[in-house]
Amino acid sequence: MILLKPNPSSGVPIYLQLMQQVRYAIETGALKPGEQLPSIRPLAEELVINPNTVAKAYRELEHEGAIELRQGAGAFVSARAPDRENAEKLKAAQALVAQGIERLRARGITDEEIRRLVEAELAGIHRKATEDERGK
Amino acid sequence: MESDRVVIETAGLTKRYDDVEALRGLDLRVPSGSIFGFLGRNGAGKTTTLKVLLGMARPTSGDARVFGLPSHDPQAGVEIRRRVAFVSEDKDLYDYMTVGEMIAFTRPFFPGWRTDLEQRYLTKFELPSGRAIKEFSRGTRTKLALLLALARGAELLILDEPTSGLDPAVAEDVLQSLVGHVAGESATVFFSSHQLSEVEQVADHVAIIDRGVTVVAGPLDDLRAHYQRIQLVFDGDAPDIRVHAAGTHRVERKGRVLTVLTSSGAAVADELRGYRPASIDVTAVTLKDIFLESVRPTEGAGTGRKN
Amino acid sequence: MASRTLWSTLAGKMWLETRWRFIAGVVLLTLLAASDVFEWVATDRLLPQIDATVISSNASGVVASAIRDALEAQKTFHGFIWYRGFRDNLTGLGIIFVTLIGCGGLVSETSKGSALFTLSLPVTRRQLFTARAGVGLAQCFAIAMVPSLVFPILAPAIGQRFTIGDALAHGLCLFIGGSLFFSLATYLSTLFADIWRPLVTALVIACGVAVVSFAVPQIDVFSVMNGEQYFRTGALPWIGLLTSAVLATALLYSAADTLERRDF
Repeated sequence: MILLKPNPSSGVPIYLQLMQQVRYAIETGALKPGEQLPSIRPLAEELVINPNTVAKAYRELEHEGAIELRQGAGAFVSARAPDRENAEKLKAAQALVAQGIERLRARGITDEEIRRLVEAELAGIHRKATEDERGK
Repeated sequence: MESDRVVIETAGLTKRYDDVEALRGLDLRVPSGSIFGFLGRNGAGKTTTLKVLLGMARPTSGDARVFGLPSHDPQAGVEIRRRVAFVSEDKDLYDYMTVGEMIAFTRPFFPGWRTDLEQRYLTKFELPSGRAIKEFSRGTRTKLALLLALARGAELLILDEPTSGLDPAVAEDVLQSLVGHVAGESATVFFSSHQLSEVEQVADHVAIIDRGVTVVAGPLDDLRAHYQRIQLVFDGDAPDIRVHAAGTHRVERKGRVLTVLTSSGAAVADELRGYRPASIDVTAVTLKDIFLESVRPTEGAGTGRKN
Repeated sequence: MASRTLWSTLAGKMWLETRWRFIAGVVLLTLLAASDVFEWVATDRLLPQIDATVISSNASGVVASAIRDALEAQKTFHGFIWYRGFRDNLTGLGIIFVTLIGCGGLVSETSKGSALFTLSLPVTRRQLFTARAGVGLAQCFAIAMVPSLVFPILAPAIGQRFTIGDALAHGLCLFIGGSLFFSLATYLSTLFADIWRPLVTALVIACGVAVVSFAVPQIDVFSVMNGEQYFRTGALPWIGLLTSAVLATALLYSAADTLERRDF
């Protein structure tokens, strides 16, 4: 299982990028339940990132229940069966996104513009979510 | 990693050279086990700070401590330097020596010298054995300086622009060795750099120094999460307005575009929605943005204003 | 780290930095001393002729009497060795070489690009200085003693005699007088980052002292260094030696202090 080098300037914190990659790998079956993840030190060296960042990603993943950290042994994917339901949901969502992107491209909208539209929309959604929180 | 131990601490550190104040009350806290990036423009006081920490320059006033020991005290300084490895910007070495002679000279000073690390880096860095250092390229020189720093088993590495002048492949080697050392030996790395992308890659804490004082400091993830850039495009000229939302750092107006650098994007988007922008874009802020924002002098009114 | 290893490592570095100057000095002065011994043979033959014409002249004045004194001194082998060997060659060149050895040091490493490495070592500046001064003084001692001992060793080769006691006495004067110049160069080296300014300044000061000592013989350190009093009276110039030693020590202490306070 190969982890891609995170992009430090993308704006997304490196530990989040790692978490996303691991979660995606678990959900698509690239990482199986009980399988061992790379140790912190060799992974940090290979990706040339801060070992504390790797540790943080692993800690957060353990907090979410996606992996287990066993004292002295390392990090392992949780023995629970992967969330099939979630995986199905994501697969369907992926299809919707692909459709949407195709349609936008057909209208002549560039990938960069598509990305910015998505970001703006997400920020708007976030704002609404915060409003709803405050309203409660 | 996050421990309460602080390996480097300065409080109100001031350093005056004749009539130039290089440091004007610098505060710094470097946590144990971190990779700490120390950023600033040329002449901001980075190298001076490093020299004070190592006892090479004496502070005018204020406090500077490494491992809790006062850096300007001669005896404490010896203890500090026994546990610290320093690589200067020019990779100071004895040019007339060879690799072997340099190692043989340095080794006796450090009781914690790690022969295994010495061997590992000799092989990994492919350092030439017979030639004098003065014939080395900058990359090879840096690698030797790094070997001497890593093999002495230091708890703290202090590096002044470690990858300056290096080609990307060698720079990556350097970063990889640092990362490996921190992970394997539980060391702390404190380095100054201009290569912001590298700092973003490996540092977990940063401090930005400008004109002798710290202007920004903290965990890198926290700092980045703190800022957003919101860009509003209007059908006509962008309105010349003052943004009242709290947490706004900078407003720039150029033609039809209004750009706001803020730590609370939601509040700003709210406030500006009333002006009916044609589009609102949110982009994440990089370390470069934070850096330029922190050290750039304030621009005149009309082009932009600091809130 | 065991103290012995620390000192030997530092001393080794100091040796590496000054060894060529030192070796050049010892070799050159030893060769000069040897050539002085053999030059006596030719001089010995010439002397009776010069004697008759010059010594008997009644020319007066500083220069004339200086020439007369010089010739008077060099009439014997012992006097010749003192005049040519100790007074001219060994003192003159000795000063130059001990000054050269005193130049350099930590501050000059700034221009060589290695000062920050040395300063990052777990040693105090005082230790660095002591190692350098110690090695330097040992080298000055060798530069003074080795050529001096050439005379008693080679004199029998031309059928002459020069006692070891005399050689040692003169060697001691050379060393202590020379250490004053070594200390001066060392002190000046803590003020300047390049290697040339301390050297030139020290030599200019030496020339200045030489000129002034015509009028003020009390500060004639060269006379102390070449052991003139010992030559003429058999008594070592204790006051001069003591003064030189005290001044040299004071200069070294000042140098160590200046180094401690310096910002790099």
